[in-house]
Amino acid sequence: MSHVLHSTELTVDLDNGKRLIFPELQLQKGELVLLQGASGSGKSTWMHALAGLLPIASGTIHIEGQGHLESGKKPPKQWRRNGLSFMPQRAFFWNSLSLKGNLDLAAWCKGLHDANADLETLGLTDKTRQAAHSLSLGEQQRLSALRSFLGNAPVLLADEPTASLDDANAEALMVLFKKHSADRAILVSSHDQRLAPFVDRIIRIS
Amino acid sequence: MKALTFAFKALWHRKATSAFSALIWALGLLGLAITSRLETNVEAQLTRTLEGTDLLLVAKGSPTQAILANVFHVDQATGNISRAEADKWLSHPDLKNVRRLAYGDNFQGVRILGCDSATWNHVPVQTLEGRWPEAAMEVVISEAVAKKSGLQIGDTFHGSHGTVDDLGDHDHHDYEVVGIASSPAPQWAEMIWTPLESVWAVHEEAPEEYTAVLAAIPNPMTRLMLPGQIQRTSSLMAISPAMEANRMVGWMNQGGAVLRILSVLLTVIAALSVFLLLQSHIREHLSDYALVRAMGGSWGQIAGLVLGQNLLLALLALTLTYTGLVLAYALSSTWLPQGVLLYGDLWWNLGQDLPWLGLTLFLGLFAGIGPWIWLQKIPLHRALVDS
Repeated sequence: MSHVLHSTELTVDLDNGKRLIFPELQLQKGELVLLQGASGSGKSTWMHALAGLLPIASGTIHIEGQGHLESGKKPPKQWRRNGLSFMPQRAFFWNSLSLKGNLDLAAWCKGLHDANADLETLGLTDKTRQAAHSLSLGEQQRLSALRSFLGNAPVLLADEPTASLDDANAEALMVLFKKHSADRAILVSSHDQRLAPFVDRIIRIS
Repeated sequence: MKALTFAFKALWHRKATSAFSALIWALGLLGLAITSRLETNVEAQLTRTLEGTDLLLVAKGSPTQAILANVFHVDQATGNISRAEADKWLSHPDLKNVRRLAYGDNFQGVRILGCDSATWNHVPVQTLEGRWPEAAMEVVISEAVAKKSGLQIGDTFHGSHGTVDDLGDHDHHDYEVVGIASSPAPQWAEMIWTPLESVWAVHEEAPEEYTAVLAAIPNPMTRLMLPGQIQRTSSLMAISPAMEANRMVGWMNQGGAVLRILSVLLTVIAALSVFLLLQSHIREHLSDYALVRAMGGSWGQIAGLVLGQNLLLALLALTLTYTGLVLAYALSSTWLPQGVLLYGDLWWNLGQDLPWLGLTLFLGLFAGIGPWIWLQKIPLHRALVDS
């Protein structure tokens, strides 16, 4: 199996003057990896840095076919469009758009003509005109995951996706991740112990 | 195109504030549009109406009132002038197309204008059913009067004393309708023409008088000198309508300038409100735009979303402006005299509208650039984490 993401040791300077150092990371196609650590351990910061949403002070991130993200430089143009998908902790949606509209928006951001999302699996086919924010929390997180699968980026970073979900919804989401990890690498950050049985590998940070 | 769809939905989601902003914007633009149309139209109408009238002889009084009464036929005349005294000047060799008028009566509020054939030859006639008068007490009525009164050729009626008000009937003198004329000129829309002799016959107890004499003076030197000469040597008031009209246009332009300044101010305030509306929308929905970036959207795409909202507001404002123009045009027909148009170019005069069309689009885009640049300075991870 080849590495779809390779990050050297990364340093991130925070606004409060703190400096966080993250170890080397390699993700392979087809694996579902859990990034585990207590609240405040820097999981989200690492995820944001890998996604190019937060500047890195030192280190290099490489995504297969997308080039390098280096300290002091902006991410390559297609970094988040084709290289990786980022699923934020909270399932953000545009309130002005319907469920379908939000998927269309995501497809448009990724330069796709259509949002070919598998809504049937989520049981949402009859809710396409409904406002996304009116769905249940579990449905919202699954929809947010489905949205991040659009474009088939080789890497998916999911930041605390199960933070506010009950057991049933957390399990449904992890099953979805497992299903879609076949042709990509998925890194899920969480302090949630319930996720361990679903993943291929666990990385612990303190 | 997709950007405009998303921008439209974002506006629709806050439709009340969006509509209010567009409405303020449209009010400013409407002021600009109506001012420019009015100025062009009134000046053109004045020039058209005063064509061939370089001299107006009337009784002393307000020159503006005299022009309104005897050229535009909308005000009370300043009085009558002695026929003998006026005729002395009418033999001047430089006076052409001399038209003599004598007002006195009305029929159901419509002026009965005593005049000579030169006057009705001067009227731009679209259609004439029947013929022009050949003898005293024969009249030609305008089409609007025919419709309003039901009078037809061959019918007779008697007038009431006074040009507008009913000050007593002349029931011993019947007028006979010999023609019905229609004219595109607004001042002739509601009129009854009859020979001067009719008016003098009806008022047989009074001396023969004119209300006004109008004439063309092709010779520029005479045009300049004759009015002053008449003023100095007679009891008549000699007016150069063109000069008076220039003065009237000057006043109007000053009023128009004030309205234009107010309209520009209103437009700028509207643009400012659109700017603040967008700014506060972005502050409240920071995570929406951060999400677009997190999903791979470019700054160009975000510009499409942000500027697209303002562009759509500008288009809505323009639509409301043109709707307002149509409404003002439609409503003006109820309070303006018949045949008078508020403005000629109702719908689209690109040459005339281009400056404020351009201003609108510029302000719309300009008001969106600030929020867009501000958005780029916000750390994306903070927007996603803090929201």
